[in-house]
Amino acid sequence: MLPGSRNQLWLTLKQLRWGMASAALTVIVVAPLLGDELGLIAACHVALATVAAFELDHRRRLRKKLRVSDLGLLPALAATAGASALLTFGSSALLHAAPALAGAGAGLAAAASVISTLVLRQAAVLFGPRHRLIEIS
Amino acid sequence: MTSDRLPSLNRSWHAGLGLGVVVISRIVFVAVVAIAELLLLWLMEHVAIWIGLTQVDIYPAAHFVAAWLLVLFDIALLATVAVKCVHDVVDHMLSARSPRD
Repeated sequence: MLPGSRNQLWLTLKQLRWGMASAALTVIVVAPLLGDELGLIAACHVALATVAAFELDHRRRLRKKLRVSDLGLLPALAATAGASALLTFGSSALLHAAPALAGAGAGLAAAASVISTLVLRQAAVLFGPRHRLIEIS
Repeated sequence: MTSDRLPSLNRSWHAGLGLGVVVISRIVFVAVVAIAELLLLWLMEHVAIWIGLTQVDIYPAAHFVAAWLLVLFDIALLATVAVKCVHDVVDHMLSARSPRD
């Protein structure tokens, strides 16, 4: 294996695990209220948003020179919730669901993504403060 | 075309080729996983019938849970692969646009 590839593999497995947990949580939240179809649609988009958030955070950790200030927890939560809601609403509307149903699905998807980030304890790992190494010569 | 541009064009071409190989290998990986899942499902169904597991009371519930776990895994795997491919392509495009020394 190439140097550093074991870390990459482990990070990818963590990303996959969190995506799967997010999708499961979304199905549990949405499907009993709005049906299996909307539950699956919301699960797909919440998983996509959370996996993308993990990837962005992972890539930022690899960069040694970070020119922009680190995003805090609230903007990241808002971004993932907004992305989940928009994607779910758009997909539901494309599949000819009623606007009220699509809106309810979007809202529940946003709530599921927020709960996934907070309750599944990824916030402390992903969006916590960066530790800087100070070298004393 | 000046000679000093040729090395950077070769680097860009090689980087693009490497990126294409990575993306295609990920797609192939997903296809292999899908085929493996289908085979596993077929095998599990037949083994369950052979050993009489379908007569057990909890079999329908266990089958339901197993099917949903497989679906959720597929959703997460496709999302992960798609995000990684998009991120690699965007990184390649951004690095190609940045000037080299």
